[in-house]
Amino acid sequence: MTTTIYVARRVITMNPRQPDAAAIAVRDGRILGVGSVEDLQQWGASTIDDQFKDKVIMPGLIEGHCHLKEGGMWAWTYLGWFDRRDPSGHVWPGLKSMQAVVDRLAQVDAEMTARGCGDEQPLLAWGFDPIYFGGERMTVDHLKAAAVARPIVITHANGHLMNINSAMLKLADITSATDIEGVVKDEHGNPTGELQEPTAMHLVIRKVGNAGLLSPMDDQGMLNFSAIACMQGVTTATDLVNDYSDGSYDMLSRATSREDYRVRLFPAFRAFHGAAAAKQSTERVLSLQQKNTDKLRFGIVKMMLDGSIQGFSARMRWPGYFNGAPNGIWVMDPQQFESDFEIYHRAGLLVHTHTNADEASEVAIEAIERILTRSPRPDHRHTLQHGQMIDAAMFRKMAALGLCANLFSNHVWYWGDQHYEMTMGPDRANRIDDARAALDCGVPLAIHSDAPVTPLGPLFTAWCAVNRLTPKGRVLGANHRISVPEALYAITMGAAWTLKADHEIGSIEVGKRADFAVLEDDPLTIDPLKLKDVRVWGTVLGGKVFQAGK
Amino acid sequence: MNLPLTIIGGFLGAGKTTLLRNLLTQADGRRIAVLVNDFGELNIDASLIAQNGGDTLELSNGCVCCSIGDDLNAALIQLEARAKDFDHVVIEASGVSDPWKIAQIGLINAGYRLDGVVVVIDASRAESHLSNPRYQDTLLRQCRRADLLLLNKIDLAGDINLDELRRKLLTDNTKAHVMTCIQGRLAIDLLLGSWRQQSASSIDAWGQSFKTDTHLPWQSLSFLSDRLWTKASFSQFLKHLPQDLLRGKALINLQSATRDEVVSGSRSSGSDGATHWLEWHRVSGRDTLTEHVTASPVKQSVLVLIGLNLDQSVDAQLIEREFN
Repeated sequence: MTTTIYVARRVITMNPRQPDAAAIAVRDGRILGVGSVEDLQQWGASTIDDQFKDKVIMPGLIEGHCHLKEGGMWAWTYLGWFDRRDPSGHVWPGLKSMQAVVDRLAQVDAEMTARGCGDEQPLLAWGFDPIYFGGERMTVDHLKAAAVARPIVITHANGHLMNINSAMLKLADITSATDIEGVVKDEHGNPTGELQEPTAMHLVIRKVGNAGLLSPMDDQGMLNFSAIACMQGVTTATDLVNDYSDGSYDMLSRATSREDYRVRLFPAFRAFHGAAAAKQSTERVLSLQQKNTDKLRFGIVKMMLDGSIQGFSARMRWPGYFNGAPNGIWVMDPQQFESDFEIYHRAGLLVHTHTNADEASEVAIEAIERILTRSPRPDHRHTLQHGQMIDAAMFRKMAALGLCANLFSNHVWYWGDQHYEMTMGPDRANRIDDARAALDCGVPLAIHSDAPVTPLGPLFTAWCAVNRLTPKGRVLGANHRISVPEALYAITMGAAWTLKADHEIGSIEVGKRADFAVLEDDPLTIDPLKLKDVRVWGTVLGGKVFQAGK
Repeated sequence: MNLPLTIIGGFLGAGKTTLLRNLLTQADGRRIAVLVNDFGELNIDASLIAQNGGDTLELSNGCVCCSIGDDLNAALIQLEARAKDFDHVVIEASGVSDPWKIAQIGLINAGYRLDGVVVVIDASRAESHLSNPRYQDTLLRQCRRADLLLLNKIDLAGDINLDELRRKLLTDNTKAHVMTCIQGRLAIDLLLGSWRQQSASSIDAWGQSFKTDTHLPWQSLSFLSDRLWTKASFSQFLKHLPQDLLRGKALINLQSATRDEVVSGSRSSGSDGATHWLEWHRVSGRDTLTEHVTASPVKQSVLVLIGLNLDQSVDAQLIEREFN
């Protein structure tokens, strides 16, 4: 029974009754005490560890909506517009022009050739998003300069589109005669290499297998995720769409049972299209819950109502899409949603529902109100995920129903300008991901990245909610900003609440798990505009110290 | 050879599952692979199940149900590898998805050939769906590219105006065929087109079967021909057929492509005795023509047409003349 007392420049506890402390005592992976060294030493024999004496310790950060694929993308080439850090800590600079994209592909093609990869081996890339190129679309002509013989397959950032080169067109047998929606053609009727629908993408997938976002997770990806989490100060993360299959369980179990696995995982059961009937699924979730460990927690159910706003597939209320696009799609029938939700709810499970645009949020809130009227259940903590267009009236209703919100704050930065100009228009874009209204209405709040859709990094997400800046320099709704302490609470205790784990993690208090984010800078004193630049030294997970990148 | 593919779309509760169960239990020799989201709901009689493999259910009549899982593409690729085990593939689209998105798999020569898009409508609830802004656009999107609109549950629909309903549902679709039914009961041949284990020993009986098969006043017309056909001349002939035909089927003996045989007027027989013949199906307005080089299942070319009120829409004398 050893006791270690960590001394820090400052301990930010997220416990409002004791917001600051000088030191933390840790025993058996749990927090024994928080306070002054003298107070802590009264517990008896202890070792003082002062490696963090110049650093700031806060509760380990919690990402309440991400996917393990964040760690599974790095076998392929990154082509995004924004800088992105890989699991080794290397930052891949964002590619700001089509030429830069082509140059990176050409370089990878040359490297593959040098490594002895024959031309038949495809070059797979991800993260590309032409929305930032002012309307210019990628075509096979661009890609001629990247590789001639080798097939190239580029998955877009949203996972719903692809670009391929001439070699891949040929391999997939896509020609001017291929007459289906989703194969984009030029004015002469020749395919440009852009594929927009699952059917069009099917032609590629049946030749090269699932690529990028669509590919299955593997053990290396699991380790990469752990490394990335540590670099971002994250000690608990969700995997918000998981099939709960035996294979997935084995992979999760293999990874999290490693002593050096750096993150606790909360996989959520995929209870939408393709899922078996809700009754059987409930049994599956409950049976996997029996296998829970301190680092692997089953039990959250993920449902999904609509698509994405920037993909124009989210369900929007009047007045609809700003550019006049037709309303989006239901991923799940609202009636099916209600009946399935009720089954999970009655089984005592916690349900998180993807609702991007406001019609979907409204459908969810109304359905849950009826369900709670039929079968009341205290402390359910059902959560709306994304909830990007929820307005104050809906937040008030959510508060009355005991619903939580986990808002997609990274959107303000990543697609805020597009929402302002194309999807929502100024009024609604100015209140996108309205953390301010959620808190004012008394809705428990978390904020998220949806990694790998945007990069994992709760401090960056907090920066988005605090500053609401866009790449074009807009402040998207100054009155909808939240304070730094509120944002830090959202990425710790707020997220812990939505996972029903706030008694265990999320703050530095006696009895809780010794999960810390160790920072070089103090997020409470740094200029809020620099919150995203706070340097992360590493993490402590259950009392084990992990330095990022080591 | 590409597998015929039929997509069945329609809202939750419209009757897709019942229709599929009827298909599977009355397959009548066809080996149908059905891809569904949840085959538990199909509620297949246990005595019909030959093997339950978790994600697949093999039936004793040669049919199979497969669960789509979260990846339809993967399921289709797996099924393509077993193509020789099946005559037809039917996909049940989820209640809110657009079946046309899936149907296009059958237009790209990627292992499948589109046989038809069937959208099942609960006639008793369609009006309420059409007046609900949360459902209206989804329903119309589904109907937009339907080949066959199946108005189900008409027994529960009271005195709704079917013409009016049909007009509202098909605002953007002029070519869809519309049929009504009860409890998803529809002759399998009206739903599915060609199948590769064509025996057709009694194609005329096939036509006759429609007279007893259903509550609706079907009519069928049969024609025989000794004429020498080419694929082109038969395609030309098809233009004489009325657009509102519900179902058509023909087995056509083809003349040889070589000049000698044309001149001598002989049947096209290769040295191995094989005959060139052509199989034609029209299902829900969609024509499929397939050429075969095997022993022909019929000596004379035979044509069967099925529809409602055929005597009014078909000029039988014209067809008799053109076909012979």
